[in-house]
Amino acid sequence: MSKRFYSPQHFYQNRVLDPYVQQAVSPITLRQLVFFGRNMQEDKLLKSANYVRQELPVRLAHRIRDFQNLPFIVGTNPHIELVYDLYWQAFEKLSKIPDIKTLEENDRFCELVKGLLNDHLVVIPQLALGIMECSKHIPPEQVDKFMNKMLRSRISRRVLAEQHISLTSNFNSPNHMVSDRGYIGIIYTHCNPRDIVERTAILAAETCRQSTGGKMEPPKVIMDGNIDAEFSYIPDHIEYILYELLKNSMRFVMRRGARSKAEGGTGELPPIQVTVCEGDNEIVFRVSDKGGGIDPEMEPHLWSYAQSPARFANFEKISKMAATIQEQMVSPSRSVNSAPMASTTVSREERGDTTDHHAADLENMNSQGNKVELPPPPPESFKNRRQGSMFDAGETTLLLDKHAPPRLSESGSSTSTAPAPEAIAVIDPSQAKTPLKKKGHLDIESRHRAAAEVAAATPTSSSSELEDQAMHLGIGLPMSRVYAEYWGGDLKVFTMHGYGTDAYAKICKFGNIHENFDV
Amino acid sequence: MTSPATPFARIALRQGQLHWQQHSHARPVLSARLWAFRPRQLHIPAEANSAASSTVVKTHRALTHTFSTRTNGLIRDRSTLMSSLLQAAPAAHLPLANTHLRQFHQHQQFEHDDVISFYDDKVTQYANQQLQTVTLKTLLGLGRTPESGSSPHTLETNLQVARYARQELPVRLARLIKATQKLPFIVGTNPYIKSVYKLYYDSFQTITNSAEAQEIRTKEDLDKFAALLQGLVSSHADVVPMLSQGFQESKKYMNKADIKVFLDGMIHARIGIRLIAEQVISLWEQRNHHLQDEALDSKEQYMVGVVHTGLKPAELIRTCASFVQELCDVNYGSSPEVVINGQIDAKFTYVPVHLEYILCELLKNAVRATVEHSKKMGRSALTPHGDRKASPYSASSGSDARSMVVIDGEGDDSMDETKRVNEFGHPPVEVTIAQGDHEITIRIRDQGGGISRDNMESIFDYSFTTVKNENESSDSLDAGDGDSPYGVDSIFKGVSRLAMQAGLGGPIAGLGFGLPLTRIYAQYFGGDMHLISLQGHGCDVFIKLKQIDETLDNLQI
Repeated sequence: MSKRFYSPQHFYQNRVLDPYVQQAVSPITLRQLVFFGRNMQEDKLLKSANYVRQELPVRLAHRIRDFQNLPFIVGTNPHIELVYDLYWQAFEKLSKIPDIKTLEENDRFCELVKGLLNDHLVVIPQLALGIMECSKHIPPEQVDKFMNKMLRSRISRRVLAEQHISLTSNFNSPNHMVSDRGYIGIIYTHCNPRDIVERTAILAAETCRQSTGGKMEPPKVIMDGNIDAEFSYIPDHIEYILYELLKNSMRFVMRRGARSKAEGGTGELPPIQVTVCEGDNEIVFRVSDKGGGIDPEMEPHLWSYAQSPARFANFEKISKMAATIQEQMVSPSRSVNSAPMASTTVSREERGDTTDHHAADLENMNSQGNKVELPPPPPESFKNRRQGSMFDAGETTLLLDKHAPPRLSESGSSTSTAPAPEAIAVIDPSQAKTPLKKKGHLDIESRHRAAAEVAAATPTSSSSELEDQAMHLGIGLPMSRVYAEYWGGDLKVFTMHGYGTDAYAKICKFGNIHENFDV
Repeated sequence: MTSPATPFARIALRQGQLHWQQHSHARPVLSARLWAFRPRQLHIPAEANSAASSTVVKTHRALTHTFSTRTNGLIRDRSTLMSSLLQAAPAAHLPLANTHLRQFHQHQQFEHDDVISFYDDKVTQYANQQLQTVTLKTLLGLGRTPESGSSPHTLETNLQVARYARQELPVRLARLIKATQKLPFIVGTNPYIKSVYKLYYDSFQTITNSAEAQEIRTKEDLDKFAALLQGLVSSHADVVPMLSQGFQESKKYMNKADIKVFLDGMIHARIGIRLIAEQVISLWEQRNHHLQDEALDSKEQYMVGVVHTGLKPAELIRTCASFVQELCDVNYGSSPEVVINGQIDAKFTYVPVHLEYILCELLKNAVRATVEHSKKMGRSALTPHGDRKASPYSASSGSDARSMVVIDGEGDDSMDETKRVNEFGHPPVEVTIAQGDHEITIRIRDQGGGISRDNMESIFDYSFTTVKNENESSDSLDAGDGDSPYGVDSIFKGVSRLAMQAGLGGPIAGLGFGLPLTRIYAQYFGGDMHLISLQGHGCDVFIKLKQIDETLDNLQI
């Protein structure tokens, strides 16, 4: 992308920002999104397009102003400057779009927004690096506030954009009237704790298993409480949180287990307990481990972006991050690398048109399909699986469509050199035999994510580096809290030194809380 | 102190009668207990209900008042008068008697004292002095623990601590007095607030007079000083209930936040004062004991004044749990198990009475919430998972042992004692102990349904209840089982009302001070307390307590 030269004009051009900054953002609720997205009609779709068209520049303008209020020295940091520049470009593009009156205009608008979403995959790594390098120039509290604002606002813009893109692609698919299946855009109205925990636990286990080179099995996850509660949510958000929590817990338990084994213990890993509690307005996931607790030195900095400058050092190794669970499924795959292209093809054929109404759109978007394989379902559960599931009795492995985003030109060229199977994660054979009680909708949801992103960043890294980066980006916990707070929930972590850690992720059940994007 | 009275309290409760005359010697405790259980357990004839319950409250107040006045060594006539008044008055007329007492107080004493304290600038002088940064080592005589060879119970140590106390206590008292003087005038005229003010002012006078009289040099000086402190400590036993009543009556003159700031400061300072005073007294007592008898029992070996250098939280939890369970049995007819796990052999250095107060308060809440939630959810022995929806998948998909994710409750969960419900259908309260390098964390988990979002915000507020309010709400409490178990009102009005012997804190009559006070105790030596509510499930409370050791040297207590 072209670098802006900050001529004296830039200062005076800044005026164009003013009317947007003066406008307040119009926060929405999940419920509004759900109601609006039902029974989509052309006029509603155009209304949605124009809402997004008007809202995005306003939200961007607020964040640009935040950048401008940083100390001058910070603004001159190349990473910060790059993000600032990206935001300006996006702002200029979006603010120039005239009223959207036709479906064709809407399609063009969606293409533009998709492009922006992808351009912005570099934002989190760049911001993290920039903040790391600037930590001596800004007090930590200000850094945290700035980062939280940035991340929340980023979620808010992505939610708006992705929701609209998803609604559009649903609308464009031939049989959109009959294929609701619980999805309204990117929102799933039948989110279920059992599915969420099962899926994220398997992924987290896989990540942790890979990080030991397959030498150590991660601890089991025990679930209890109201695991069959149902709520509407953006699956990505809650899954990101639970994946992070479970991964952290497993890592601690495994680390402690390894230590105790070295000291002559049995090395048996105590299970991680996930308790789901349903209250009047909320659902709480309590993730409780016996991993020995967080180091006392680290504990005060759990939520800070600034306190431990070395924390984000790993971001130098990756260039893009969407902060979604999908990218977690990809990174560990590099070291396994065994899913054949053949199965990919089969799975796509097997899907059929009726179950995958907008596969075509996604095919268009994807330069290549990234897939994650999960263990096959037990035979008896095939009848129960959701319609549209890709799980196939004939296959020994379960493929998850990982509709990767179209890539930036430069990374696209680099990934194209890597063979496609690179991007496929396989759960190891022993695990593959493990029956899953009920299959989730991960495939569906990922296909519904119109602008799904994959980190797919460093094609040249060795597998060990990838393990590192998958494990220790250092942003997982604060990012999880931003996700949790975004729709009015929260995330709390209490550690018992010498024993273990309890994390409480609370989300609002009814989705009637407004987006929370200012700290 | 409470335990001997338990049978009496129980007899009275079980028979549903008030046995004032028969067990007069147990009265203060008895009345406190009755007060505690009044809303649910006292079966007073309906028409007498409101009068009698207010009687219980007032009797308690009057009796404790009498006691404190007696120990205070104040005008003996008045104390005789009061007690005879109480004895003479049939229960129903007690409120009247109490009013007389209060008026008597106001007219005879306070007006005169006000004038004295107004022109007294000694308080100001002392209040302006810096508090000494006291390391716990000097105060508690640590570093001379039995392990290190020399005894903390030498005369020299005792004298040092006593000298420190005599220098420090007037400053701290003066600050408390100053803080009280800054209350709005109308609040200061409230008889209860005024009594507290008076108590502190008297104590300040007593201790400064003694300080000016002579240095503490000899054993005799020490004996005298210790006796003086004992008198002060016992006279202050009732300060918290008095404050509670006082602020209840004057809450319309001060906003909630200001009251909270004042009470937090007041109670925190009070804990410090009591700690210093009790330390002098117990060191003195322990030394006397040592002189008489060389053989120490195992507990005494670890006691340095009020500090226990080998405190096992598991043991204390067990003691508190059985005490709380007993109370719960009396009140509800059943109680949940208390499962203790984690590092149960952990040991650390702490003030046992502080921990005891914290544990009793929290266990009480947990146990009560569990029982009430059981009732609400219809949990019983027959339906061990009464609050759990039957899983639609459990039939078809048994959990495989190798599975990554195990659904609990489908398999055999009797292996896990934290899940096993007891014969009354109550899930256990789980207490987990974790020992870190410099701290102990205790987690108390209950399955009592949690706290609703609305109440969550006010759980650390001081909630005041009046006799009148109690009567108003007692009907609904007795009638409806639907009140939320952790509802701010019900929890503070009910079990936390127990007059629990809180050691240094004196008998705590609850009065809606339970959780805020618990947190102040937990934070006292740099620890903390967090409560997480899982609505629909239960509460998790984390208490983090720092070891009282050399790492706390810089802590100002």
